[in-house]
Amino acid sequence: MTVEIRCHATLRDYLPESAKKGIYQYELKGEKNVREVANSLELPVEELHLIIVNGVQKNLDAPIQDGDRIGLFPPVGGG
Amino acid sequence: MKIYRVNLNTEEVKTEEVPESYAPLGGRALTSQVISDEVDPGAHPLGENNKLVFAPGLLSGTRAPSSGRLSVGSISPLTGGIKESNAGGTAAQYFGKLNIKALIVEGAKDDGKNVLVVNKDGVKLEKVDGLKGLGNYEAGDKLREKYGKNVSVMTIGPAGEHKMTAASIAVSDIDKNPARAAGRGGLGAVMGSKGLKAIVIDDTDAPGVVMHDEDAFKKASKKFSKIILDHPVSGEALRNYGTAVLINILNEAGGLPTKNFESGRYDKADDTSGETMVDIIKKRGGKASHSCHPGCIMGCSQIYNDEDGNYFTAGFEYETVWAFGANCLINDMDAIAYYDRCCDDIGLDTIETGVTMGVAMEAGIIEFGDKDGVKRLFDEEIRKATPLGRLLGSGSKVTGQTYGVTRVPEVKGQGIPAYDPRAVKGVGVTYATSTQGADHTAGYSVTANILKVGGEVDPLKKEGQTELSKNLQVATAAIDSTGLCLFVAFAVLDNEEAVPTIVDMLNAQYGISLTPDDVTELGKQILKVERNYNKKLGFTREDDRMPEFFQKEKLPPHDVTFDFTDEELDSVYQDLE
Repeated sequence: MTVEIRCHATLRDYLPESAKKGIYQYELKGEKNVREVANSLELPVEELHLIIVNGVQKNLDAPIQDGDRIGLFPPVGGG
Repeated sequence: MKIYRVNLNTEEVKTEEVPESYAPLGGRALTSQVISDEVDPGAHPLGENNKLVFAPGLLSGTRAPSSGRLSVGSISPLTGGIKESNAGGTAAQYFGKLNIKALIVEGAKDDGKNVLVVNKDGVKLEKVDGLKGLGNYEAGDKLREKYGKNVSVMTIGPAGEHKMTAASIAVSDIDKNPARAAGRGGLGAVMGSKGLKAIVIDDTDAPGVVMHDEDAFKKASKKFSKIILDHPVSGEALRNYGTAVLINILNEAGGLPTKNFESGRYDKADDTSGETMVDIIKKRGGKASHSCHPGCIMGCSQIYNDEDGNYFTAGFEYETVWAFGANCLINDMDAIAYYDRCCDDIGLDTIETGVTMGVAMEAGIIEFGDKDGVKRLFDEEIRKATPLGRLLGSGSKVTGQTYGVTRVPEVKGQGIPAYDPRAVKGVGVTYATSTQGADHTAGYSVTANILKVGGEVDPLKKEGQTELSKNLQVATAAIDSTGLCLFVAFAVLDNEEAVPTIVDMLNAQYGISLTPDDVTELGKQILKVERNYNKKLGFTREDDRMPEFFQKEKLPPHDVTFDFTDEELDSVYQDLE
């Protein structure tokens, strides 16, 4: 059971060195939602402004399953 | 304040008092009103009867944070409709300090030597040899040599001189680079049609903005600075990664138009992301954060150096990186930087030109991903104004039409920017209905659709999108009139004290008593003026539609189409006519 964590902008610094370009394959250890995964990875939960699971905006309590792609972003903007 | 009117046919310059009805207008409100009042709708965009209006915003030239945006108005040769093209750089602050309400350029003379010199004594038309045909970098250097190193310079490059309808007007930034532009709508071609190569603005001994209540203004502007800086986007994120931070976000959300809008995801997106850009910039000693105009406190711009650590380009935006990157399947940051510099130097809108390259690839002129091919098209065709170069310089619609391409991403003749309208539906409504043609800045629904700023509206569903787009179009028109950078909107949408504080600044400066409702009314009034003028130019509701392929082709990964009915799109402007 793995999920693909994609951390962007300042959040990349929180991933292990092995996570190339902010992409990290994480083997689940019983975590059931994004919040639990974030806690396991010691990501700063309060900075997770955008949570995009398989291309769809979710929140921290969104359930996760094997093979999910989870994009995490701090508050950012542009145009 | 004064309005200066220059006629290139008679070579006369007139100084006019500001009519009472124009006093409360600035920036876009003023440029659109002048075009509507003065230009016969029958005027050819590149003929002597079209006009080009430059106006700083109401707050430009003051200490108000990030208030140095310039509006340039005209009939667009690209869209055939009214146009306000908005630029950063140094010009608006200088105009403001010189108490210039507007500069109106009339007539047309194919000359290439005409330079308008603007300073504390007024506006003068001069003839300068040796400028014709120069790129914006070299033209700026020559003009600074002649008029002083600290002048603000607006120029057109070869694209404008050849009246290519994707041509921009370059505005020098605080480092004197022509990296800021009134890009959209081909107004560089209008300036070229008038035979005007440059406008030089010297603010030496400028009188400065007349302030009705200095203390009240200082207080309000300080408060507004705090509002901007306290917001995580405008206070921090924009300066960390620039606007290109959006590449990965739109890619995750499945809304990053890839391969001429064939997919919403690009497997090599990260090679062109803001994060990658900043890594390169830091390695080469560039600047990850840079202000395009004096008084900007958000610093979303940047300086991108070449491999040897020398300046290469600046203001390397999300839109530009996307247009030549994911849109053309090119994942080489240096190649994209080269195209950005070409656009700045030749004087082309980066969005229109990148979208056009995607269409050229669709047409088979070059292959998708052919980075050397794009370089060749810039160097050998567009810069030299060959027949193919002129065609590409005329934008996506003309190029698509000429080659029989059915998948041309444009509305009202203007190329669609970096958010797929099927997967970011709110901004799709803006593309379809804006008076400006496809323009993300005209009503940036990406805020609530993707960024969780100013609320949340599901980007994949239709619910709430027309209302969101309408409200943002109204608010944007008002902001574009103040001279404030549109990026203040991130804070404005999330902080209810922001609009009253902008109103406080305006009231303190002008000695008036506006309310926040008046600001909304101003936004509506601008849209009505633009909409009604477009009607006189021949636009109907049928022009507020998305190209067929967005309605028929499903966009991966979400497999969505642009599915608004005509009635839904028409509802946006139903009470703004």
